[in-house]
Amino acid sequence: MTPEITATDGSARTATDLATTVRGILARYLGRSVDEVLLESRLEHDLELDSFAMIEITVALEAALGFSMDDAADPHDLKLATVADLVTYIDGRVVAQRQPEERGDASSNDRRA
Amino acid sequence: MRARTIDEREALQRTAEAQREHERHLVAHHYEHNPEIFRLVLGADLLYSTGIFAGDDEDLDTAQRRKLARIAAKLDLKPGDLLLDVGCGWGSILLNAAEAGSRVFGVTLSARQREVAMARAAERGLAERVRIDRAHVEDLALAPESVDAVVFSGSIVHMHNREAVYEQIARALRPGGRLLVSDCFFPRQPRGDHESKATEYIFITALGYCRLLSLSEELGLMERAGMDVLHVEDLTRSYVLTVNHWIDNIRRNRDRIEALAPGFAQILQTYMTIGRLSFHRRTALEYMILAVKGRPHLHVGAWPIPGQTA
Repeated sequence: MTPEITATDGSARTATDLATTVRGILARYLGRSVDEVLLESRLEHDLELDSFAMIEITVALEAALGFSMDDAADPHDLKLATVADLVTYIDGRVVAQRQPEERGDASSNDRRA
Repeated sequence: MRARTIDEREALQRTAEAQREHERHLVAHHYEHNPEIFRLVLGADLLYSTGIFAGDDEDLDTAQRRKLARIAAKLDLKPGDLLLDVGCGWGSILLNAAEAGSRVFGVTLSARQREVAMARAAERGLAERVRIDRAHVEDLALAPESVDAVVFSGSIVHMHNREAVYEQIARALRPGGRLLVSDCFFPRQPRGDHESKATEYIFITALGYCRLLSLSEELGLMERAGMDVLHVEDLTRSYVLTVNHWIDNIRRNRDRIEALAPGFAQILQTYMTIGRLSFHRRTALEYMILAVKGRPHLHVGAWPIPGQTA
C-alpha cells in the first residue's frame, strides 16, 4: 500500500488505483478482459458471481490488498451489488484497518466505514 | 440413509476397500502439509476442531484448553486405562491423556502428523506410554473389550463407512467404556444446498473426503452398534468463534504460509470462510457426543449447569 493513499488530495487517484486492482482480480478470476469488468457491472447479474465465487474473490482481494472482510457480517447483508460497491466497501475497510500512525490526518479518518 | 452430496453418492458406488483406499490418499493429503502452517493457524495446541468458548471475547488458547479439559472429564480415564484416538492429528488429546497417566494409542492417515505427534510425546517424556500408527481405523485388529475409551475429534466425518466403524468400536470397548465424537453435522431437515460448489469445495478440494450425517442419524448408528448416548452438547457457536480465530491467524501469517505452501493460504481461508458462514447460519452444526457401552461409571447428573444447583 502506498502512503499517498491516505493523502486527502490523493483520494481520487487512490480510488482509481484500487478500482483498477479490484477489476483486474475480478477479470483474472472470470478469465475475461479487464475491459469487460466495469465499475457499473453488477456482480451477480452481469458477472454471474454466486456467493461461493464471491468468497473466493474476497479471499484473493484480502491477500492482494491487505485488508480483512467483516467476519461478523453475513456477506448478503453487505449489499454489494456492483463492482463500484465492492470498491467502496474495500476502500472503507482498508482505511479503517490502517495503523493509526499510517492513517494520516483527521479528514482521512472520516472515511472510515 | 440417503446420500446428501455428490461425493457421498460416488462413495456408495465404490467397494468398502476402494473407499478406504480413497480416504487413505485424499484425506491424508490435507494433513500432510507442513506442520508449521497448522501451528500458525490453529495455535500452539494444534487442535484442529472446535474450542469451547464461554464468551465471545475469549481467546483461542483458553477455548482449546477448556476443550481438552472437557474431553478429559468426559472420557473419565483412570491411570493405566487405554485410550484410542482415531484421527489423532498431531497428538494433543493423546498427550494430554498420557500425561494424566493413561496408555494411549492413536491412529492417523498422515505420516507427517504421526511424526510430529511422536516427537511431541518424546519432548514431554511420554514416548513409553504413547503408540501411534499410520493406519485406517477399519484396518485395525482391536481385541474385544480391550479399550477403555475412544475419541474421534474432528475425524469421524472423514470416514464414510460409519456403520462398520461404530460396530468395531463397540466390540473393542470394555463394559463401561466411553466413546466421544466431536464433529460437524447437517441439520435433519435440509437448510443449505448440499450439492453447491461451496460444499464440494470444503468436502473435496480442501479436505479430500467428508460425509456429514444429521445428529439423529449419527446417534442412531451408535445405538445400533449397542452403545447408549450419555450426553450431547451443541458447540456450533463455539465453532464460529474458533474459525474466526483461525481465519485471523491466516491473515496474520499469510506471507509465511504462502512461502511454505504456495496457494494453501487461499484454500484454507476459502474453506474456513464457507464453514464459518455455514455454522453462523446453522446450515451446518457442531456437536460433541458422549456414548457408553453398558453401565456408565460417570455421574452425568453431577455436571454443573449454572442456575441449576440444588
